Amino acid sequence: MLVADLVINGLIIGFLYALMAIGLSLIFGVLRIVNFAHGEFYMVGAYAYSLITLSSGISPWFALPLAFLAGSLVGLVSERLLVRPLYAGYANWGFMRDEYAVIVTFGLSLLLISLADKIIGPFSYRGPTLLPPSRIELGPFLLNGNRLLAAALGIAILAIAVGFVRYSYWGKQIQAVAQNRLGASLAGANVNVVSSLVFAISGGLAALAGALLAPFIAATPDVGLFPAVKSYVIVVLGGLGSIPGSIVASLLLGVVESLAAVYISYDYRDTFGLVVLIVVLLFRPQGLFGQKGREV
Amino acid sequence: MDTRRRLKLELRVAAFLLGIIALIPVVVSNDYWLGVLIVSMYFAMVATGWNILAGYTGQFSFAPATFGMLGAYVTGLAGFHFGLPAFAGIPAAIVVSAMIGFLLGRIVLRLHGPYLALTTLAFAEVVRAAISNSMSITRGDLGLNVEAIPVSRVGYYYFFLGALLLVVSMTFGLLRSRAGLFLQAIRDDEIAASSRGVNVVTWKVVAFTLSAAIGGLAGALYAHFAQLISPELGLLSQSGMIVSMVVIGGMGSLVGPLAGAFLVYYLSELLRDAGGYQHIVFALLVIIFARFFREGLWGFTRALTPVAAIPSPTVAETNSKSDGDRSISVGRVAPPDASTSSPILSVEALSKNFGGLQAVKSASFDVAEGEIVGLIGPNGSGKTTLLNILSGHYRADTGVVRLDGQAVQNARTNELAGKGLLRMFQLTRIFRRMSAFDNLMVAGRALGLSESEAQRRANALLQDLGLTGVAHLDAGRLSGGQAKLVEFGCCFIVPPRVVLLDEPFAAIHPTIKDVMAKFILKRNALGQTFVIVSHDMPIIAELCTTAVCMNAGEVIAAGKTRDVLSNPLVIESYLGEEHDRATHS
Repeated sequence: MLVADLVINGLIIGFLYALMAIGLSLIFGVLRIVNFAHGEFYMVGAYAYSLITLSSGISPWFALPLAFLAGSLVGLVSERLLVRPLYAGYANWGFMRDEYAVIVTFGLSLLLISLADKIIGPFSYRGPTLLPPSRIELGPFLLNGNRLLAAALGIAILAIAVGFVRYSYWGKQIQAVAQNRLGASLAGANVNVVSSLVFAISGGLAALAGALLAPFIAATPDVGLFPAVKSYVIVVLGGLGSIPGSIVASLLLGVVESLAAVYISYDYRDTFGLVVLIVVLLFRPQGLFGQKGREV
Repeated sequence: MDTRRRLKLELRVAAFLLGIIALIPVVVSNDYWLGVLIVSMYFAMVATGWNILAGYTGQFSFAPATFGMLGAYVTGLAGFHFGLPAFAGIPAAIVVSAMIGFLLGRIVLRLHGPYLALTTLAFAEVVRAAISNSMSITRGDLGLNVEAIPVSRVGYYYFFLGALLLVVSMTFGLLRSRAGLFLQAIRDDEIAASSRGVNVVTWKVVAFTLSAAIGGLAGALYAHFAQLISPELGLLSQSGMIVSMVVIGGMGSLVGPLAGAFLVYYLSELLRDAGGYQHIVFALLVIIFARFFREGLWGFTRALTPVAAIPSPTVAETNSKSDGDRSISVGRVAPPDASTSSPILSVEALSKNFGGLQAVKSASFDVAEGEIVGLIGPNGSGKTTLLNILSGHYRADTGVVRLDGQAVQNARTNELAGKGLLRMFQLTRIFRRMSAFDNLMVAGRALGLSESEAQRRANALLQDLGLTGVAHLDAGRLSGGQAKLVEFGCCFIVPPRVVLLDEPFAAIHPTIKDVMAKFILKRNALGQTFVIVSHDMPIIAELCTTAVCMNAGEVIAAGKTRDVLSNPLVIESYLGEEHDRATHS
């Protein structure tokens, strides 16, 4: 029974990981870069949710969309200022493309953390839960109602996000740019708007993950580190750029962590994913679901 | 600019910087500031090590601080558990770090770009978590006490300076040797590097190992200086600090990490006192430098030195025009009789699948020594895949490739280059951040030439190809045709046995085409063998004695060029069934 309990809790956290990871995957799919400031988008969401509800006393239900907006805004501004130069002729650069993207987003991550530390302070803020504390009986399982709700909201948001990318007009443009940036621009897709949009969505989703978890994991300047490291593990496991792969890998990681924390070691709970990652990359450098591209 | 010349200038500046640092204790006796400088030297060492890996070899690892931490813990634990003194603990730290760096290098060999960054980040976090959670051995987050070396602060200062001097001169020695060329070649284009004969696997692992050993040395010294170490040494933010030092100082230069380390650490001490804005300032600096000054502070000095005017990109064209003669007719020696001599290259029943697509189906043909073979066929017929198998970039599913009678279908690209099988790519692959001259030097040194011999031949080749005027420019600034000539030239620095050319004449000016065609004939007259993939039938007809035609992965015709080109199967594959029916009815 304990196993089933752990699996369900693992799945709950897995859906929230997925919310983080698909944003990262989307950015990689479209722009071919890994955003090392992704955890800080999460941090922005966690702070936005906690500070808005704690200071103004408005309903946490209103704080959720505001957190999304805050995350999208940070994502949008980052893209405009730092990422856009990447697609304006990087051929003659002193750096190579990957180096620039890694360095500049890593710099952004340090900047956002230190700004939060300086402006808000190193203290932690725990946002209120969406519902009064409750236990929900689901068959033989007794679950924390708020966690279940967070996971349910996570699933709903995931569905909306995936639906948007799959079926909407803008989503189709995103797919086109992801497949062939130059081709899409020749066919009339507005490549720059698509890139900004992708960053805004990605930032917003990460911020929502931060907001949904803020009642359980208090916001601090470096709260984004572990969610970010986990989403890196997830996107590499799932194959960089693959959204279905990311979702499967998120759930897998959630369950593995939940089981390993009990059966192997609680102290090392945050490192199992990393070990799995290293082992997988040894045998499949393109990730579990990724496809190997043509190199030569 | 050439690596050599750049390095010489850098060495002078580095020596000057280290000279100043050596003199500081004469003036400054304040223990606090000496301590700041000692820690700066720790960072300077780790940053120099990381720069070998990331700046020169292009392997962007996120774990520089991890190796510092490992070094510190090796000597710390050896002292704590076994009472090992510092003079034994420090070498142990170097060896253990180097071994772990070697292993990491082997593990991440096949990873590139973001995958590499992410995996090394994962490695860094796993190691840190392991140390922090192994309470019984490492005392975890409480930290570990390490014995001091019984010297004064100035004594420590010169210990660190000596180590830094060692690290910098070792790095200089490394970069000045052929390794410097190879590492940068790997950074610019791994596939091209292996095609020129560079053993990419070995040199990548060398870079990882060295970088880790330097980190281990620095960390071990730091442990004995600080006397208390904790897993915080390996925090991601520590690695971030090291990355920012190198980025601000200038990646891929000898001076950059030194200047960056002292400046950033000194500034961070100043800013810490002035309200704790140091992290914000560094993050901003990293972003600003990455965004606007990609070569860091060291790049500014390069901007100050006068840059020679870029010669017009038509140098090669004008040089070759002076020959006047536009037709290609260099006295061709009769090729050795293919029927009597055994083939230099033979392909036997070669097949290759990509998923469900059979790109090459049981292809067989022979290439006799001294021939120029045209490999033709419509797009998608498997020509490039075949070349990729011949040059060792792909493994064939089945079949045998023989070079001089020796089965080589499982040989690695660089081994094949060593045996004299060289290759030029359809999309030009050169080392864009190295000069044209250094591009040729990479090929020459990788194939075993001595420094002076390689230089002599590189200059001669540049002259022959009309590239002398642009020899010392970064290859990335050359025109498309010039870049192609550089890659072409790399195949000839050591007389090759077989040269595979993939679409050498596509999208270049006719005069450059002429230069190449004449060069091919000249080299062929010396007995060198060529396999040329091209869609340019007139030039195939003119250059090639024999031709092989592929369609849908199969060899459909092989023999004398004239016969192959008039073979109805070949015409059909090129022009389609419609044409075939029309001409036959």
